[in-house]
Amino acid sequence: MRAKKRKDLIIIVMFLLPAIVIFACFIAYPVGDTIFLSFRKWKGIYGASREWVGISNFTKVLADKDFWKSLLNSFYFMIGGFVILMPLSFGLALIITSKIKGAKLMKTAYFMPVMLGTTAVALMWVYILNPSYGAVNEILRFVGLDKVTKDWLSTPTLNIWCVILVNEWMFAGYNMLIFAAGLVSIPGDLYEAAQLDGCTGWKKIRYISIPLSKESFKIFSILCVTGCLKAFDIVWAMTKGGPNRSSEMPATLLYNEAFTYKNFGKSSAIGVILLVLGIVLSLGMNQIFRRKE
Amino acid sequence: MKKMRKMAAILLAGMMVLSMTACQGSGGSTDDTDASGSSGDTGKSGKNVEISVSTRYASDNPDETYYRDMVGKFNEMDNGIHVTLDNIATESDYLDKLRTSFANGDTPNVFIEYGGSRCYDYLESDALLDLSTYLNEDKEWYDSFYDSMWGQSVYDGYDGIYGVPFKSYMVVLYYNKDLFEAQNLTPPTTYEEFLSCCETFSAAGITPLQVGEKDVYRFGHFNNCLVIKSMGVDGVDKLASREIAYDGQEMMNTYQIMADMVSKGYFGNDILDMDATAENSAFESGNVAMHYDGSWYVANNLMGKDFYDHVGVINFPYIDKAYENHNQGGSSDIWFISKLDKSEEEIAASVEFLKYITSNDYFAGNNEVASAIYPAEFTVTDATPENPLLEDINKIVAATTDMRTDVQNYDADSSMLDTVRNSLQGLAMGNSAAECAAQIMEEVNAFEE
Repeated sequence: MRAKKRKDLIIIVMFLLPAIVIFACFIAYPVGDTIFLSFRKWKGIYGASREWVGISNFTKVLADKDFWKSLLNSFYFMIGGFVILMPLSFGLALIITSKIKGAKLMKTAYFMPVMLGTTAVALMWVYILNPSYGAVNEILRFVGLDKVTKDWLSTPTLNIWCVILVNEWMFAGYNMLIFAAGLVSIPGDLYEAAQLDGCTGWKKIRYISIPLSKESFKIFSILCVTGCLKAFDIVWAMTKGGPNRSSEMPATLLYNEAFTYKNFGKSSAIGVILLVLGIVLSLGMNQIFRRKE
Repeated sequence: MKKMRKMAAILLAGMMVLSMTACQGSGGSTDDTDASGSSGDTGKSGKNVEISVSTRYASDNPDETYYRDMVGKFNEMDNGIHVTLDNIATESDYLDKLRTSFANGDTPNVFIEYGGSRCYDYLESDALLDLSTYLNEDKEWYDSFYDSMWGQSVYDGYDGIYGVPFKSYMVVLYYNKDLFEAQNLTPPTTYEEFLSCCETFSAAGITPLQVGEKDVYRFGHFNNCLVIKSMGVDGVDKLASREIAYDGQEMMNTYQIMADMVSKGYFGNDILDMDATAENSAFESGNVAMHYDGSWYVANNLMGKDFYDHVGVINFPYIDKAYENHNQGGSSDIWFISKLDKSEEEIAASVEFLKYITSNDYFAGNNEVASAIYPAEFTVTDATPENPLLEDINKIVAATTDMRTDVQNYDADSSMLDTVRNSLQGLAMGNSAAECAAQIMEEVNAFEE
């Protein structure tokens, strides 16, 4: 009996080993190293001493205006996520799960930006938003709205909103699938019963689709909050956090601190703060959803 | 069934371990293609030393094509050394990769940097090879370089020479002869004349300058010229020692000049959405009156083009007459050898490669395809094409009494260059001179803490 248990244990360990090794190498070790580095001063040269500086990296980060500005930009990303991306994705999910003609074609069309890849999408929009020859300003000039034309990616605050809108355009299709998965799992007879009771159109969405998609909203919310905190690629490809650090996000700030300014300790401190913030926000969201349940 | 499950588990775990080992093993070798395309298994003694060389020379311009061809020829020699190239054209990407390699310890054997305080951290961490022994052993090699070119390769508090100059430059002002003639203007020598030209061109609907400030070094170079032409090279040294403050009146004046030029549109339109390449194209389109740039601009952008004959070149206008012949210039691209985890054979091979790539023959051949100003003396061959613009630049170089490269290259803070350039970019967004100074001072104060 004991030998059998031992055998089973070995099998369990063997099956778990790949996941544990991957987790240890690619998550636990880097996180541990980042925490270790966040209390040290290191100029980013292999073998060079890493001087213990206590919590000074953290105090420097928290006293840094650019850090708070980058968090504000993250907050804008979250606002965009909940106010624009969530309703948009849910609306698209309603369309592709409905029985209207061409739903399949729409599903592919909406998902297309996700398949294009971040860099391709970002570059495309950089050209579209170019103030001299970009399509947006050209259209505005064509319709006589010359005064509305802007230098979209170089004007502070406006530039981060442009990036947010491009991000929403790109990920609407991806999030649409999350909501669509929830919508198709709602039993059809619920809608039929509701229809018999006179519940049609918007009311069906209000009283059946939205409440029964709670799990999808929960997944979206956690993905959105954590995704907004760590957003890097789209910002880097469109503005590199500039000009003059005006569109910096915490992740681009982290990168610049490490690789432009060689403050690897401060950069790691930003990473640790982001990690803690991500965990706290995710737990907070879970609590909120649990309470509502 | 149970046996199957057990086998699957063992197989999975085994594959995992194997793949990890394979990952580790691949770190020691490289499958990058070399410059000649050969496998590189030659060698006098049968022992092949493999060295990696990182540069920004990835473009198709004659200068960089020549470099790659010459490395290819080096690989074809029977010297037991095989060079693998890693070329990344974009400056920021190149520097990011280089910095990452220093962080993880997998540095190239030989690499190009710009010297000065930017390399100070590498030096402080004992990652750079002191080349003075090799240069002293080969006096001919050392003496071939102009004395003024070693400034960015030596450091206070550290004995030795840590880099070998490869390229040199001077920032000058190019102008469109046709547009100046059409407006009855003579090329400016003083800053007042320069501003007056800008005003005339602007009034005539011609863009005086078109700057591509998406590449932050553009305003950086302009500010360098303002500093050097108003305070001389002493001003640069005083800034480095903090005798002159970045928020002092002297520096505030330079920011103010730039802020005023931005607000008057003298730097052109959409400058934050335009990079240096687009800036060059704008000047070469013939609709922009002036263009400040390094001497490399002639070889890289003008040689062989019809536009060449329409361009003139002058010294950057001075603000204080005393500094008329103080200029921004010096050695730009400098070779360094990393000794982080490198064997003696690799270091010896790296030095041999450096001697080859900075030899008289190399520079003479380079001069035939892409004439420029060089950090070393060499015999000019008959095959070198005529280049009146370069001759004019050489006259400016000859008249130069003192020069400095990027102002922040002499600073004790290795990230000062990026700090100042980023803050100057704020001027293009409409920031005031005071805001620009405040941003720089934040970094200065943080460094001093």
